[in-house]
Amino acid sequence: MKASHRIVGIVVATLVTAALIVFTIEYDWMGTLIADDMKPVDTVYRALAIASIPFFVIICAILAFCLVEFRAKPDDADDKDGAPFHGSTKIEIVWTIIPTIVVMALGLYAWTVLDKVEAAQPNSMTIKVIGQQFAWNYQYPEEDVKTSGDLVVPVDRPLYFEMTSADVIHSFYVPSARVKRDVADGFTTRIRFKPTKTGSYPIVCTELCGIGHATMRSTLRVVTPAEFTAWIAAQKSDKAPSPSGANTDPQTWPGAFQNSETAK
Amino acid sequence: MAASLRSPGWYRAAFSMAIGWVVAFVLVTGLRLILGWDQEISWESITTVSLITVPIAFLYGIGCMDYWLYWLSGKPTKVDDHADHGARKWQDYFHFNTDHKVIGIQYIVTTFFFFAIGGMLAMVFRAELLQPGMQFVDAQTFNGLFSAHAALMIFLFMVPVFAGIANYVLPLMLGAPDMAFPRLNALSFWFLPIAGVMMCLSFIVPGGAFATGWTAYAPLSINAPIGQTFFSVAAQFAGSSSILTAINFLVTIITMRAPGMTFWRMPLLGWANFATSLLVVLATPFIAGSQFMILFDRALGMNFFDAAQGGDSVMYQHVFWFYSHPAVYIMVLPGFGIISEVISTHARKPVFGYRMMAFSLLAIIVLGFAVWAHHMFVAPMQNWIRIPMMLTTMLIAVPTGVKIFSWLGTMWGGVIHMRTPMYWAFGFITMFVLGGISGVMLAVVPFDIAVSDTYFIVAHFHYVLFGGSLFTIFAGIYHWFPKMTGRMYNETLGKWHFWMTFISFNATFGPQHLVGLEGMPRRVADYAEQFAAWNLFISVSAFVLGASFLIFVYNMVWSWRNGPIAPANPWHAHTLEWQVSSPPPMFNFDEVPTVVGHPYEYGVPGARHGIFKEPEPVVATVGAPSEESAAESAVGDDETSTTDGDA
Repeated sequence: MKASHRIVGIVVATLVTAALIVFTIEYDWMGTLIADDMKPVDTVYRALAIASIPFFVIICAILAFCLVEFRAKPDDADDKDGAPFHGSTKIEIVWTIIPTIVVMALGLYAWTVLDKVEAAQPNSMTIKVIGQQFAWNYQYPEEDVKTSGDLVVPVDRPLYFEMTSADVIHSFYVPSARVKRDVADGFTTRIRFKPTKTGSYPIVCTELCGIGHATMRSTLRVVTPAEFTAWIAAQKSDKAPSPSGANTDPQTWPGAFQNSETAK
Repeated sequence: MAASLRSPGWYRAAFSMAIGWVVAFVLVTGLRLILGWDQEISWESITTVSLITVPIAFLYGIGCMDYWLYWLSGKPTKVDDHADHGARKWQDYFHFNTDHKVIGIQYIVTTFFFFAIGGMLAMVFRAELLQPGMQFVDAQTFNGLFSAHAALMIFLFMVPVFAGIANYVLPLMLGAPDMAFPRLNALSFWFLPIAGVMMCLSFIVPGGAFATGWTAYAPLSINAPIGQTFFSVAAQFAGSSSILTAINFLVTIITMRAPGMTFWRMPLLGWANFATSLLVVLATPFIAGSQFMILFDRALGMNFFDAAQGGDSVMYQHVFWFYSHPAVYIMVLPGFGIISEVISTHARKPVFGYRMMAFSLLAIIVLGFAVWAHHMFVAPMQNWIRIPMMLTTMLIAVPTGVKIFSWLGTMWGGVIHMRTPMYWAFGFITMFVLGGISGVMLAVVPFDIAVSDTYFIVAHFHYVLFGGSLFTIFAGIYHWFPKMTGRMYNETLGKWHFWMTFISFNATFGPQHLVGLEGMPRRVADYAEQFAAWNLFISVSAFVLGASFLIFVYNMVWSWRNGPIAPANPWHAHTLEWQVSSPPPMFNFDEVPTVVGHPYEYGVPGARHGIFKEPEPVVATVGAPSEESAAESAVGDDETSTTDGDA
């Protein structure tokens, strides 16, 4: 009776673990990825999830087993005690050592991934990003172009962003490239990624920056090199920077844009 | 009337608050007149100063300082009169009282009151988030709603409710007649309603409530409307309350344990509060510092955080998180203690690996001080710092895992009574493991960069704080309800409360992992169309979750009035608080108990934890921890007859 309970429990737990692992591998958790170089980030997520699943399932299985096996019977006296068992050094060493090894291995693996995805790449194009309440401004120093509209970039070229803020702290987040970094007045922060898929993708602010925080969005347009050249040419002929479209109020924030132009 | 203005109470409090406001007005306006400034009357400055003078006047009026003022002025103090001790009628709970049991109830009821307000704020902003676009509130109000929600839940609920439960239970558990400093204890309590009311009042001032999150990041908070000042000052009162209580707990735990209760015979709730109090005393001054810097920047233009004037906005984040990460442990370690008591009692088994349970608490507080920058992986700071912070953060999983596995070990082979506290303990373990798993994930830098400041974070900390801490609070409240009120709660309602909360909690916060992974930022009043379906589901689940709290309130109120009379020891537990009547006598123990063994010796023949008879004069070692090992001391210390018991 007891033995069969245990076998059923172990079989069910194993099946659940396997099913969850398959689901973790197959499910599209983080949506479109537009930078092939960032694939290791998605892999890190799946590795973490897969390493966690057995822990969670074992804990739940033990709880379920306790409920079935050790629950007080209706005719048990209220003060009937369990086994006077105080612990076991051996088992405590096991459940200290194993998680230590697991988390340290995962940590070191993540470290190598971080080094890889943040490594400098040759021939990258520098783009300056200036956050302000509540819009993103972009400068292309190589081309001498400034815009507050979409962020237009050529496909397959490594991008190097140098970012700062004209006022409060914002955070520049491209979900489809798995990159994010705060921008703050007085600091220059840097990120890089190489878009490998053309199309339009959201850019959002993820650091609470005031009343317009939720609508401080922009669009990343990854285009072919030819389209990019044409776009740059169009920007240069149209001298005046295009209006941002975001709700910047010059009454409240005089000079914010001037600041952003001089920011390094 | 004149008499009631002289004696401590609400009349005198109201009167002195008015005086306090006048003092602020005269001080500010007078100084401005003397200095010849253009605008003599500055309502903003007057408000800022009165946020400090009025609460102090209130504390005087309600009676927190009477004894000290009498003593200072050389008047006779009424040390032994105990007029301020114990509650005889329900009105006594609304007055200054130095009885730890009254203060414990005051704490718990006050904190649950602010919990309800914080929850209602969440209902409002979840209504706004039912669908994309703006429907019910504007963006400024929305930002105020979630900021006040978080601030109330953290500073007015999670941190102090544990202080409340421990306030009631801990002195009883240690065999002490009260806390070490009863008047300080009362003062710590009365700081709390001040902080809570101040945060709520910020909704009615011009510019609305503080709207920069509970994190109040500079420089956004520097230029925010006056509501922000309410937060900065309220955080000082809440922080002072928590520091004073922690000192009180430390002294009580170190000096007031019953004869024979060595540190290694102390129940784990004592250990948990010992560890937490150390953390509070060391860390909380940092949040006080961070909010004082914000206040000074706002009121005095000190430019701590203004980059244009040489300030540094990232410094704020370091100071802030140096408290606010340990605060996470302040909000969960006492819960670990509660769960150890609950599981051991209702599974009728000794706690598995008692000493490792205590050591893992200490390991968590030590490691907890070396991880704060994991909140700042995307902030402007040196890249290399992220690696050591990642590794230390992941290491915290080890002592936490030791605790989880030890609870499972405690249940294994027990006689498990599935009463309501045990439901919450089961719920806690599963949910906290999920929150811990997402916590380890978030420690991993490349993944954290992808999901930082998205709804994945929101999901993570609600699994830790709601599924973790709050579930332990419910476990503790149900577990000690008979002791606190002298009545039994209703088991059926308790289980309904559990299931409704457990299911709607998962329905609310589970999907938030998914929208977060897909890139929905947190703290937004409006969101992209792609997240609409999940947000509708989340909001509806949140309303059910809010409604589940009503079952709890009904159960508590009804049972307190009409529940069956509770016996002294309904769970047949061994710890000292169950060896006295429910509710306990005014000074807890008519006879000082002597501790002769471990607190969790279920199943050990003849084992006793505390006895109420003077032992032979051999056992009188207080605070000498190492004279016995956990295994050997288990059995048979006690051949003497027991006068009072659990049979």
